[in-house]
Amino acid sequence: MPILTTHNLSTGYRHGSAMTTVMSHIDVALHRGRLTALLGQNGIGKSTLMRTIAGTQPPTGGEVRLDGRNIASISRREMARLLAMVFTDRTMAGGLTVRELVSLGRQPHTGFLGRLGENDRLAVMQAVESVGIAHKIDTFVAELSDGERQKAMIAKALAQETPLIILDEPTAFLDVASRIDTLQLLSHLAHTTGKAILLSTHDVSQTLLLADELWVVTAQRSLLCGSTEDVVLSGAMQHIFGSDKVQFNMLKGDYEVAVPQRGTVSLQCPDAELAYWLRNALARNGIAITPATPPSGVPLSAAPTLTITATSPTHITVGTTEVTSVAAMLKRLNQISDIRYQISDNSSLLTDNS
Amino acid sequence: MSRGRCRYAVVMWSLVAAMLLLAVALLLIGAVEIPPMEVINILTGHASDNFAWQVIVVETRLPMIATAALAGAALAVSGLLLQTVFANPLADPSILGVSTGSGLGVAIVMLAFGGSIGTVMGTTVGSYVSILLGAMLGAAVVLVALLLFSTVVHGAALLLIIGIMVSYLASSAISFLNFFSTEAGVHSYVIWGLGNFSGVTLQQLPLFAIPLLAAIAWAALMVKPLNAMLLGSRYAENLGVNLRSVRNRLLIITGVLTAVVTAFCGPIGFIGLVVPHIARLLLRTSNHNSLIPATILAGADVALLCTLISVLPTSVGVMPINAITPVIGVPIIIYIILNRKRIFYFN
Repeated sequence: MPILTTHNLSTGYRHGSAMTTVMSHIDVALHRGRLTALLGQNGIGKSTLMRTIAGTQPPTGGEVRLDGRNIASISRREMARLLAMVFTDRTMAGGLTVRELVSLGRQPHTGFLGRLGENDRLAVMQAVESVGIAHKIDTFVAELSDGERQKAMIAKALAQETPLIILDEPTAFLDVASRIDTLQLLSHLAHTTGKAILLSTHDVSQTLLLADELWVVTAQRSLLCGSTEDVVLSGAMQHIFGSDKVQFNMLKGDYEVAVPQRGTVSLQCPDAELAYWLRNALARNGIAITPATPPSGVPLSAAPTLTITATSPTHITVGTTEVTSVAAMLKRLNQISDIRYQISDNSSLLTDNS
Repeated sequence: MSRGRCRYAVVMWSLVAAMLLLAVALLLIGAVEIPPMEVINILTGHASDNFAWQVIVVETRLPMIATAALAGAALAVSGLLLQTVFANPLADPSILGVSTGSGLGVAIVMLAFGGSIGTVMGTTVGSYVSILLGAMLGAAVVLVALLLFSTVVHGAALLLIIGIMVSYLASSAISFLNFFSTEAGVHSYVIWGLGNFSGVTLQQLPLFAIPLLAAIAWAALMVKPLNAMLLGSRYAENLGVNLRSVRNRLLIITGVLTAVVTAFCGPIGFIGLVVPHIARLLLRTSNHNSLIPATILAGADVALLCTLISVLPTSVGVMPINAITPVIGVPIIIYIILNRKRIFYFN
C-alpha cells in the first residue's frame, strides 16, 4: 500500500476568494522502499506540488492522503513523525556539532525539554552511520563540506524515523561528485530502510540512473508518472521543456542542444568510446551520421557520402586525408566541399574553426 | 561530547567565580571607603559602629549588585532570544523597538506629569509603579504591533525592519514630548536615559526581581523550540514546532524582560547584543541547552563589570552605565563582524 496518495489534487494559491490553480487532476502515489524523482523546469510548480504534498500549503482541490489519512486532519506533531523534510535553506546550525544537528531530528519523539533517551541516542548514531559521516559526528556543521552538510541534513531526516522523506533539490549546491554520492545514498536508503523518498532535482542524467520512479511535470503542467524507464520510453522527457532548443537524447539519457543539421557523413570506428565522442563533436557541428552500409531495402542516397574512419584519437581519416586529432578532423571537414551537398545554406559549416 | 562538557564546566565555573569577584569588589569599592572587615561584619549580621556604612552596604551596594546582575542577565537572555527568533546575530531589544517602546512609555509618564514625579533616584514607590506601568505599556504596544504585523508579514528580516521603523516612531514621539515638556521633566528623563543600576531600593528589589526571574525561567523552558529554530522556520515546522505560537511566546518573554529592566534602569544598550556572542564564543556552541545558562551568567558578569567601572572613585560621582556599555560592547561587535568568516557559528 502506498504511503502517500493524491486524489484529484489541484495545487495553487488562494487570494481571498480568488484561486490560482497551478496544476490539477493529480493522481499519484509514493511507495515504500522507492526513490521517486520529481523533474520539471523552474517555475512550473514543482515546489508548489511538494509543499502541497507536505501539507504546508493547502490544496485548491482534491486531497492528499498520508498513511491512509487526509493530510489536513493530521496534527503538526503527528506530521513530524510521518514526514521528514530536507531543504536547501540557509541555517544558523554552524555552531552545532553533527551530533547536535542530527539530534534535532529526534524532537518529534522527545519530551517537553527535548532530553534524549537511550533510544534517541541510538537512532542518532544509526542515522549518522548510515549516511557515512560517523567520523565527523563531533565536528561543527560549519566545518563540513557542502556534501557532508547535506548528508548531515539527510541524517537529521533519518533520525526523525518517518516512513516518508521529501527533499527539495538536495543536490542543488553540490559539486558533481557530491551530487552522485548524495543520489546514490538516497537510492540506497530507500532500498534498505523501506522508506519512501521523494526528491526534486535538475540532475537529469544521474536521476535517470538511480530513481525508481519519475514524476515528470511537462511544460503544459501535466504530471506524467511511472517507473523511470517506462516514463523515459514513453517520450515524456521531450515535453519537460517547451522549447525546441533542447532535446532529450534517448541514447545518452540527458538533454542536449539541438543544433540544426547541416550535413551527413558515415563513420567507421570499432572503438565505442571513440565513436561516441566523434559523434559528439560532429553533432555539435550539425553533422549527423548515416549508417556506413544502409540496411537492405533502403535505397542508397544518390549523393556521394563522405566516410570518416578512425582507429584511435590520433588516427582519423576524413575521406582520404589522414589527420591526428579531433580538432584537425573538424578543420578538415570545414575545408571539404563534398559534404556540403545537403546543406541548405552557404554559410560556413564549422564556425569554431577558421 | 566529553570535551564539550568539560569546556561547559570550566566556562560556567569561571563565570560564577567572576561574578563573585565582581560582587565582592562592588561591596568594597565605592565613593565611600569602608574597611573590608567592616563590610564582612555588616554582611554577617553584626551591626557596624558606623551607621552610615551599614546603610551604604545594605541599602545601596547590595541592591545595586543584585540589580546589575539581574538586569544584565535579563537583557542578555532577551538578546539571545531575539537573535534566534529573527535568525539575525545583530538583533537585540533595542533593534526590535521594545526598548524604545518602553522608553516612550516612561517618557509619557515622566514628561506628561512634568517634574512632579521627580528624578529616578529617590522617588516614591507610587511614581515607580507608574514608570514601570508606562514601560510595560510601551513595550506591550510595540509587541502587539509586531504580533499583528507578524500575521501579515512573513519572514524574520521584514519583521526586524518593522521593529526598527516602530522604534523610529517611538523616538519621534519622545522628541515631541521632550519639546513640549518642562525643564525638570526633561532633566529627569535625560538622567533616566543615561542608565543606572542603583535606582532600585532594597524594598523595590522583589518587584524588580520576580518578573525577571519568572521570564528568564520561562525562556529556559523554551530550549527545544529555540534549538529547532536554528535550522530556520521550515525545518522547525517540520520538526513539529508551532512557529507562530513559539514566536509569540518568545516576544512576550523578551517584552517583559526589556520593559522591567528599562523601567528601573533606563534603556541599557549593547548588553543584549554582545553577551550572547560572548557566551557562544566561550562555549563554542549555538546549542541553547548550554547557551542560556552561560548567557545568564555572562550577562550578569558584564553588567557587574560595567557597574564596577561606573563606581570607580571619581570627583563627579557615579558614571552613567550607558557611557560604559558601548566601550565594552562596540570592540566586541566589531571583532565579531571582522572575524565572522572565521567564527564557527556564522558558517
